[in-house]
Amino acid sequence: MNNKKQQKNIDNEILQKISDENLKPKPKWEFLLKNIYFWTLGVITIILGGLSVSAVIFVFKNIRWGFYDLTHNNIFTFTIDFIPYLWILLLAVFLFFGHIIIRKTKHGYKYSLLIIAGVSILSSIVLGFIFTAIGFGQIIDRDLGKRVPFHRDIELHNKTIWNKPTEGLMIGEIENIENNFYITTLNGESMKILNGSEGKKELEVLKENKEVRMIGIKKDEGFYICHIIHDIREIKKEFERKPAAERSKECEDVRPYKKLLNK
Amino acid sequence: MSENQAELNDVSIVKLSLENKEDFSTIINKYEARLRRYIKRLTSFSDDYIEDILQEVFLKTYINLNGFDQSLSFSSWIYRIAHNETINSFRKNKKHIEATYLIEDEDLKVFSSEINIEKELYKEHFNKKFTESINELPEKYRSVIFLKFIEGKDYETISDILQKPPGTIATWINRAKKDLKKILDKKGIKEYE
Repeated sequence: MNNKKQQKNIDNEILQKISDENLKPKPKWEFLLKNIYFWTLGVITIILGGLSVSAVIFVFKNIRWGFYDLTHNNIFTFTIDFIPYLWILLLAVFLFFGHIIIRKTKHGYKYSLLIIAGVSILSSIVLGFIFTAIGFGQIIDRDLGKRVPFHRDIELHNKTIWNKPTEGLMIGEIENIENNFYITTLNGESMKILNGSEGKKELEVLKENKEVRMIGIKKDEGFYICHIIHDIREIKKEFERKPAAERSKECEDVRPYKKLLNK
Repeated sequence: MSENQAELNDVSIVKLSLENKEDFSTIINKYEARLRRYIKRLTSFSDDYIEDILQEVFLKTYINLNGFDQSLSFSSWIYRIAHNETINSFRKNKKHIEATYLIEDEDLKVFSSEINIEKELYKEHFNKKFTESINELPEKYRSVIFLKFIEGKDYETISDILQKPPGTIATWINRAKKDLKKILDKKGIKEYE
């Protein structure tokens, strides 16, 4: 009975409360603004996703696939080493937040995860290709990536994999080729290059301050050259430069050298 | 009155309520009993506590009247507010839960035939066991069960109320039915072939 009486009065109570607390319906623009806010955030996450994709595309375009067997045991370890984890992780983060944000828009809840994820991924990929064409991929990977700790941009990564003297790989910048041949390694150290069977002919094409990649043997007194890579983009032509008679026997057991012979 | 006419009225009442708050009482009177029942089914809260939730639901409805999306039915919209408010209160304060709410016999008939156990309907304490079983379901499954089988809402409407894709609602309903059958089975209420 008491409950029934209470129930009957609920409209009066509510209207009374509305009057007492001077409650008013929120203006329409507040709801409109909220919807615009979420859509804007959603679009921003897709743009950021697109920028991440452009960095991924840039990285994959600049991986020197032709060298994989010189620096790595197989294509699998090479690929794993070069996967741009940072940009893929950021893409996943943007897609995740994009999904949450789109769900918060007026009709966002109607779309399934599959649809939202599909549209977001597709949009990010399309934007990614556009941004790559504009050159954003390089800017993000090189300029932004350098500021992220533990991240190596593709340019540096392409160099780092050659900075393994004990494994027969060396990279550096030529300091001097007048009398003794020295390079500055990636670690900033000066290293003497031992002029093996390469001969002067090979050195003549090199100039100071030029970056050079070499295959050879790490010795106490320096790095013994077996082969100098002249053009990182044309690995197949590399070995044609050197006649078989000039090839060093000492280098035959150097793994990257053997791989190069088989090319 | 057809559903379209009723909706047309709701939209008109919303417009009138925005101009004059006294007209909001029409909405309160129209939905109070339905929402009260829904909240009770969903939570088994005490009457006093349901009263508080109901007041809060109508106040929120009034404050957000301008946000009513006319592409939805007003009923879905107000059920959504009621559902969200109830679930928030339920999570915050479970101490107001009273004895298990018993589903009314008429509703039970529809529901039990839906999961092939209607022959058990007239057994002693069936209603109590059945309701207990529903209360053992996770909150989201309980919600879809009530909305679909007791409130008689379709998938689209439930999707609008719970703000989940219709596909998800269909999945939840299927899973809820399966889980409910398992719980009933454990309580000795069998499904017939």
